[in-house]
Amino acid sequence: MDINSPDFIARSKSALNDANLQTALQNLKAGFPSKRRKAMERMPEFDAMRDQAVVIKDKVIENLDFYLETFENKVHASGGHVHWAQTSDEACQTIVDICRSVNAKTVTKGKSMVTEEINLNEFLEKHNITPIETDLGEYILQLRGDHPSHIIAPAIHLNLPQVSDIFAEKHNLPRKEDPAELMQEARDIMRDHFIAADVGITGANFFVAETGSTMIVTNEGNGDLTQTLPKVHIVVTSIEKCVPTLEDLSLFMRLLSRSATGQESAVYNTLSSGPRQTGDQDGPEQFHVVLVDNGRSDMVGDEQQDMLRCIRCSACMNHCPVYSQIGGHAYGWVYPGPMGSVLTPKMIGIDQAGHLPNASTFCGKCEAVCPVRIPLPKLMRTWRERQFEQNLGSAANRWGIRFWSAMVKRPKLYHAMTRFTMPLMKLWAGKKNRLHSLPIGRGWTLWRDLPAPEGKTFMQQWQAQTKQPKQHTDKEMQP
Amino acid sequence: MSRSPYLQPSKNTLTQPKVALFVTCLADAMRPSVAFATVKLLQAAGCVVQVPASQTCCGQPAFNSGDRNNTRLIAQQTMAALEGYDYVVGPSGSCIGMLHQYPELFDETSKDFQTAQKLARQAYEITSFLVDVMDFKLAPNDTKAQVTYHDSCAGLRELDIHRQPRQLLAQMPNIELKEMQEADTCCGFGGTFCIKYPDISNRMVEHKADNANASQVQLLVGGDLGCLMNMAGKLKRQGSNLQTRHIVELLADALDLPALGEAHNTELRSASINLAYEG
Amino acid sequence: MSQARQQILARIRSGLKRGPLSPHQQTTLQQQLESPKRTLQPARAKVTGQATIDDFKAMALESAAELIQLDSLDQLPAQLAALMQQANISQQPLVLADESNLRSLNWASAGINTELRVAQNGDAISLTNSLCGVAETGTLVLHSSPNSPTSLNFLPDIHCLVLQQTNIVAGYEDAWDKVRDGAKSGAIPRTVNFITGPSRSADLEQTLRMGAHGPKRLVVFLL
Repeated sequence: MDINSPDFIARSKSALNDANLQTALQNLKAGFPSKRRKAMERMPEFDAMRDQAVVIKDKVIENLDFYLETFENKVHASGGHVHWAQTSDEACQTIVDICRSVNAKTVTKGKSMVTEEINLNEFLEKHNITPIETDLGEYILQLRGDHPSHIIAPAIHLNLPQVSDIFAEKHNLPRKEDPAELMQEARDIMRDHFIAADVGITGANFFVAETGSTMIVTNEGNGDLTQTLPKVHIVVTSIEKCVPTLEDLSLFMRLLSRSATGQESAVYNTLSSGPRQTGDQDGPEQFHVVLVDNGRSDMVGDEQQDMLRCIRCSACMNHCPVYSQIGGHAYGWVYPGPMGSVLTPKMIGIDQAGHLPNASTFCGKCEAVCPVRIPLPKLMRTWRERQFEQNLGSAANRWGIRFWSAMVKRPKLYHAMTRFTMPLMKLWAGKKNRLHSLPIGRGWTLWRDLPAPEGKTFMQQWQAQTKQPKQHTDKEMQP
Repeated sequence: MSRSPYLQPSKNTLTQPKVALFVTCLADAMRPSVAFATVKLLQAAGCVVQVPASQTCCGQPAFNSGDRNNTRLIAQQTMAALEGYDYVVGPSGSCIGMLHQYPELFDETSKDFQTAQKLARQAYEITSFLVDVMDFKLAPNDTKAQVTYHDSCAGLRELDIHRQPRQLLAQMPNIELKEMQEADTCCGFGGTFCIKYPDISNRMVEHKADNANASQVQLLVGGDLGCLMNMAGKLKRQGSNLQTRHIVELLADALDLPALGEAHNTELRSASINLAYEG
Repeated sequence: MSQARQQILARIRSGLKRGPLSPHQQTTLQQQLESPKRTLQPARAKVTGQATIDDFKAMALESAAELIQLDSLDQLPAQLAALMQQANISQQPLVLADESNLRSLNWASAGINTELRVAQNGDAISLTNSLCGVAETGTLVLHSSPNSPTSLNFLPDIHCLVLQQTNIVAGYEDAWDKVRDGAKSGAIPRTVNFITGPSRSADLEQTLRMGAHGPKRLVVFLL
């Protein structure tokens, strides 16, 4: 995916003015949070399970080398292959090499954010291999040359007429408006692709060290047709998606579906282990797992390590008051919302993604709903700290804060300054008792008034009241 | 933004607890009546209140801007100013929440860390202090109004403030609390966020204003001046009649001054709700 | 890409401020993998007795699966014939898993044409067994095998399966135990499917619709 994060302000502005997008975001806000809440109410152990999930994930990270090696051994034992890739390019090259080895012309793809991260489709096309997205939302986006705006509902920013339009244009079939008919059309067209594909590429929601297996979680069944029908199945996963055992996997299956869409369970939770076995009539002849690092091993032992617990459920962005105003494209890259604000600077650099960890009020709703209790505001703050140290971002803001800090560290000077400026502000506000415009911090009065100060500061009044002559008695401390 | 591990309220057993008022920079500069109302409530609860003179700011602006060095220095200064009391109480979940984060600023083996932990355990937002620690009963108060309450984010998520302000409002017989939609959704203030990302912030406060107006009350109250000024500023720019006050103004019967950003004061005492303006 | 492997592992270890785990530490972790322990399970994954069956039925119906109770497997052909007639697919072949309990039923008398093969594009209906049902979410567990190719679970428009009531377990962990038990030579099947209802998508204006790419209907014959 192209990097557009530096344009955050312009993109978020246009998002705020995009009526179609705003309607779509209203639907998201009305849907996912209440569904999640209902699912939580039906499973009273939910919070305790979150605590357990943190324990498991932290243990995996602390022993990640062991679990990766164990996983690799198990995959080999089942007849599969494991490839390690430090960078996007390494991962893409590995995948192209596998495709070339079987003369692949087309590959079907299950939904995978990691493949967006490594820009796989572009790389495949450059090497004359045609990728076909099979998840309905991703397919619609692919037809439009568009990109996901949400990590589990990628086409959430689109409305029905836009889907009708693109299907009519690209499928060369009469335009349909009924969603059931649109879905049938997609189903029919995709079936040919599923059957014809030489290679199927999926992501992995989890991979299991105990058995050398990968799991995909879908509602459509596209991932299953992708991982069953072609001769080769390639799983592209990032290194931290590991869980130790099938028992641990069960816990995460329960947390993921409820945190993501509020479903009791996704329709298809599918475990893949190696290639087809002796006697199997279908299933791939080859099973490959590409383990993608892309900056994650750097985060182990780092102050942002907790981010590696993420199970990509999307609860954070579904509940984020900022995301629900601007949508995912404003963030300018693969991962939007709170989790995107922590990950994106890591992957594309804080110089490019500088706005993301700053465009947050730290309201904390994300952390409150995260199934693995990632302290997202704190992690965003660590990016702000790095920016401050490296003199990145707005110089005006930095100097403003330095000025403020310099003042408040000098109480006498600070109190004198407020004693001086507040009456002026009150005067300026006049009878209306509020200010319509300000010379600094114009962002405030652009959209709202500023209530005027009372005039005298509290410290000023308090000190006046408690300045009693020494003859007075114990009323001194109480005005 | 998670629940402070130092929040362990227990009932006060001291006869005349010595309380340091943490004024907060916004109350000090913009709305002293909030601080005075807080003092009044604390005294009514039986506390001896002092106002350490060298306090200025909790350091949150520096903290959230990534200036950890200055945050530490400000924290050290604040801790020194607030030393030697039974409790530290302030009219802001956000500022008191910041005091609860002081320990994180220091190495766990340092003395500052110990001091910070001690302070965090003593530091309370006013409504939480009155209810959870002092078991306070409000003096009889015939103020009459329909109000709605905005749950400020930091207070809610760091300090568990939700039940306490409502409990106190419930003690006022002529106050009717009508909950608005999304009372606990962020108002869009976020410190420098509203200056740096004004369009997004505006959209958020527009939603908040819509919800507040839709609750059809006379008064919007909350516990944090940042949020309150943000919401009041928007409401007044929109020309809404809805008035905004800090909850302590209501609880302490400190209604002499007009509500935030209002030109006039509104009588909240007559038998019928009267929005006619007084002189 | 063994250089990548080396460097990734090295970076992980340097982040953790240690070298490779000691043999003792590795053995401990290895033993935990070989004797997996259940983590915190919700109560609904630990029900027993009749509750297991009742919960399964309620949750399966909630997921939009269809449940048809049978007294004996012999009733299956007639039931399927009725279903196929209602769906206007009586002329279509029923693609069957090559399992003895299914193969041996009297399909001819019900006028059903059966084919024992992998599923193909255009197949209207398939029939398989199932490993077990899971009460906590009304989930069916199936797996690949020489006699029951996975495509039977996904390509046809209607997927029918047989579930023995005695094979209904409470929670996912019980199902995984069954998967492990059934695995010969320690290898679990290539594909294990946990299926909860028919295929669906909410990608079109966030309204849920059935029948995205997997089966549009999931029919459970309960014995």
